[in-house]
Amino acid sequence: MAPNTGRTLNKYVTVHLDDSGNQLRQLVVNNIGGIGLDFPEEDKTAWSDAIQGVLLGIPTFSTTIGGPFDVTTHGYVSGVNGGNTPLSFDIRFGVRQTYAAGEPQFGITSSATDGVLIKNYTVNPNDMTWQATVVMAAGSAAPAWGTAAES
Amino acid sequence: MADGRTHQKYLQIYQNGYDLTGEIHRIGDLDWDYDFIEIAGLNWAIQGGYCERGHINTGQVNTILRFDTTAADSPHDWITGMDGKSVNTMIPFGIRASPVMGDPVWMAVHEQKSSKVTPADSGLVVGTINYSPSYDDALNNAMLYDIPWGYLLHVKAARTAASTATGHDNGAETSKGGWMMAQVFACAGTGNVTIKIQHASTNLNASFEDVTGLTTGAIANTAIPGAIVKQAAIDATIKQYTRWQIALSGITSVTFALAFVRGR
Repeated sequence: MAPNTGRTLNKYVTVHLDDSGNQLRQLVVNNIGGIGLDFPEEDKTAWSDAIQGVLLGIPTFSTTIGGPFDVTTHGYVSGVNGGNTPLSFDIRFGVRQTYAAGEPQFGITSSATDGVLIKNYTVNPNDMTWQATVVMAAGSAAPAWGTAAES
Repeated sequence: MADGRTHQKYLQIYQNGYDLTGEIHRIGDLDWDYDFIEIAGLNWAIQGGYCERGHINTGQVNTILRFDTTAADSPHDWITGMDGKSVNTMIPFGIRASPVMGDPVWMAVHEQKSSKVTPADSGLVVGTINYSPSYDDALNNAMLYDIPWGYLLHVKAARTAASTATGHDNGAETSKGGWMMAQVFACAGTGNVTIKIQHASTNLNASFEDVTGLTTGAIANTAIPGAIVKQAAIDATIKQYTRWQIALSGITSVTFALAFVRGR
């Protein structure tokens, strides 16, 4: 399938995470926190400077994902919560179609040292939803925007 | 066990051998969280960390007051009687139906720090239960596992004989132990019952055998209702198939639920 260009809808967005066997699995999701890196600011302004200035430090990445409680997704996420084995993570943005190579995605392919971790998994029985927090493993490469799905 | 989504009306909640499902109208967040501190070496591409100590918290449970002059039949007495004590809570998640073997189960060992009755301006008189985390169970056994989610091996039901049934298929054998929680609601007769988990490499009745550590030991009829947690060694092999098993002595019937968490 050829990649589309232009705008899209969330119905074409999918979220994928490694399970405990390091197999990338699609999760049942209906909300995602902000996607992208956040660079901390350090103010370097001197008294004599005409305007304020900062330098940016080493970035951070953390986001939340969640959705309706689903048995299969529950098995995947509960199987890796609190673990310290880096996981692949991929958010794919199909452009008005099921994701095709060449369309944007954000994520990272895991290795022994690179990948994300899950540090929280909360189920809300009141509305039967789940929420998890995605964080970076120490020493990992940074996740990045690209156009080829992670593995 | 079904796949897919579900509704809270298919949940059940048990605590210390009492079925509170009909006494509760809301369950708070079931929170499983790890300490995590980010850091970065000078030349790292991104800040990161590792998961540290886990925190397992059952959110506030909202109750509906129900009283009976016979304490054994009075949920109000059950609940207030557990205040300030270590309690074992089990919440099976039925998947668009009543819970069945293999369905997800939340199991928490914690302290019941308060139960309060808080009459509203109108409507039924309701209340709340709040919990504090605990590192050990009511028998002062330290919890070896930081995993609250398991699966149901025996739905709440009465049994009068040992199991000859097949078990739950995990898909593969594991080698990191596990822990079980038995909620024992009622019995008939005088004597004791032992509830345990068995495992097998093939899903045939004759293949099942006991798992070291995963047995309640003899529970006297005088200790029912009650709930017991037992843990296998953290490196114990748990075969692919698991099932419930009982041994009755004097007791002619026991009503219980049983769930299991595999270590990882």
